[in-house]
Amino acid sequence: MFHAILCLLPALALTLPLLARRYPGERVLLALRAERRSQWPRPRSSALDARRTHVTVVRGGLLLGRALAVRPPPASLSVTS
Amino acid sequence: MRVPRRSPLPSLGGLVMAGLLFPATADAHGIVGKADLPIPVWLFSWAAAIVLVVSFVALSTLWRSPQLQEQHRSRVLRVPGALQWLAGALGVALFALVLYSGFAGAQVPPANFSVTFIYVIFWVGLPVLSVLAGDVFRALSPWRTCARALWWIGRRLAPGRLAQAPLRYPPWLGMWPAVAGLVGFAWLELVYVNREQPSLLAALSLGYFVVMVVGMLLFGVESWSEQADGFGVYFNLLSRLSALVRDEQGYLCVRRPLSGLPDLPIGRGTVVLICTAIGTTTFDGFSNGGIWRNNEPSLENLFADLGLHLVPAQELAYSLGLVLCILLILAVYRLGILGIHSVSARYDADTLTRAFAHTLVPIVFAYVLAHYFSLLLWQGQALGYLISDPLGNGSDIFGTSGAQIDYNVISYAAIWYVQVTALVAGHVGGLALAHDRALVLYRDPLEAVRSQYWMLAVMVAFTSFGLWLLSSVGT
Repeated sequence: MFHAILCLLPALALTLPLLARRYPGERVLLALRAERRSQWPRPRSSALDARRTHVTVVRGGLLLGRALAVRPPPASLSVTS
Repeated sequence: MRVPRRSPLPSLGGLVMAGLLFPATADAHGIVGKADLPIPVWLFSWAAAIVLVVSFVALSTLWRSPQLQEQHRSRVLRVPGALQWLAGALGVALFALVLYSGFAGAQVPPANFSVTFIYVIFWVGLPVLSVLAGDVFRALSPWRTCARALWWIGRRLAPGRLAQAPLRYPPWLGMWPAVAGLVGFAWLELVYVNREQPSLLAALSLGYFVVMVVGMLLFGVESWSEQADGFGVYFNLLSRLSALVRDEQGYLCVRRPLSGLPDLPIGRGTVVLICTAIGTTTFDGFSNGGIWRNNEPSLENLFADLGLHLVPAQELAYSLGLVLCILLILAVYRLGILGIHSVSARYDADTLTRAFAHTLVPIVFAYVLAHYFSLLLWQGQALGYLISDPLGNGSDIFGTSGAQIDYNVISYAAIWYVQVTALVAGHVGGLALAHDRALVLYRDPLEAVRSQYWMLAVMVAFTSFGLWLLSSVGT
């Protein structure tokens, strides 16, 4: 019986404070969660960054192709970021 | 006079002599008494609790958004449909061998293929295989294979008439038939005096087969398999721990470990089924420990004084123990849920019971592995000679009938460490699942963290209890 009590003591040690509505280390855990949140980099904007937009200038054969084409060129050739 | 209880497997003390003379079956449980451990057993319990507390802290601070609610499957390769039928044929062939050896073979349990196959390969080996490789029993199941074959034949003979099953599976029935099946098998394995009689096992197997096939023909293969087939439901439950799964299009997929559990359908009887799976293994260990061995005779005498004969009195005492162990597991889980409910009134206790039920499944496997690892490792070797002599009549089909079980393949201390590792890993898995679910249920971090204190207490309780059970076996 003593052996059983020794083995089951961790469970008792954890349960008794909970029954008394005490949550040991709760504030530390919440503080650690908040600290990790502030250490994270701010999320990048999902909108395109205008400064990094690269516009391809149409020249030469592409200029002719655009003039003669029935349909517009693929979108990837007009604006890239 | 007390009727000596025939243990399903001979005690370890007689193994050495018996093993030399006759291939014997092995003790199923922890053998800490024989292990040379560097620290007392109760310190292992404290160490395991510390591991769980550290895991709880890590989960609370690092695991900030749900990661397991989606499976994130990646297709690996396509599994041909024919392979499923091949697996089914293998399952039917093995089942036929179990029946044949059970009815026609020697009625000596260690020498008969059916006994070792059912209690070791089927009941212990398949759970391990399910966790490693996914729901393999779905393909191997002999009754499911036969029912599907009969449906296929029926649709060919009467096209258009068998578009759906004749009857609708009653929703109110839920998984209660599966619970009954599991409890029935556990009772046979742990309580019934004649549990090792090969012909009885064969007869019961055949009866179960008939009930399953008839049920699948009446209510539909999938409806019946998913709710009423105790073994199918049990192995499917454990297969959700696996990182491997076969999708509806027949592709073998890899998914995040444990991610198969959050979408486990929780219907009527599901929570009881999960707790029953833990409770039966719990009783298996408890009934081999000092407290039960010292007190069971008193219970047996009580029933004998009430008018029962010795054998029924013993079986009633063991039946009571089995039921109490299942109820104990249910009670511990329910207490933990009531604790979570005390944190916030956002959800009622029944909703929380269903919401966190899947977190117990890793514990189911942890208990199975911890209690039966040595049995699988030792008695599983018996298949080497039993496959050559399934009837126990001296045949030597594959030339391996002279094989012996090597009990030195693993040390006693190594078995203990495997048991501890299995228990701790299973409960850490349960804690991770619970934390992931709490993040879904509670937006307020305070509520989420507090709710997990209670799950931590439940997990530590199950871990400590499991270690105590293993350490008390044979005392």
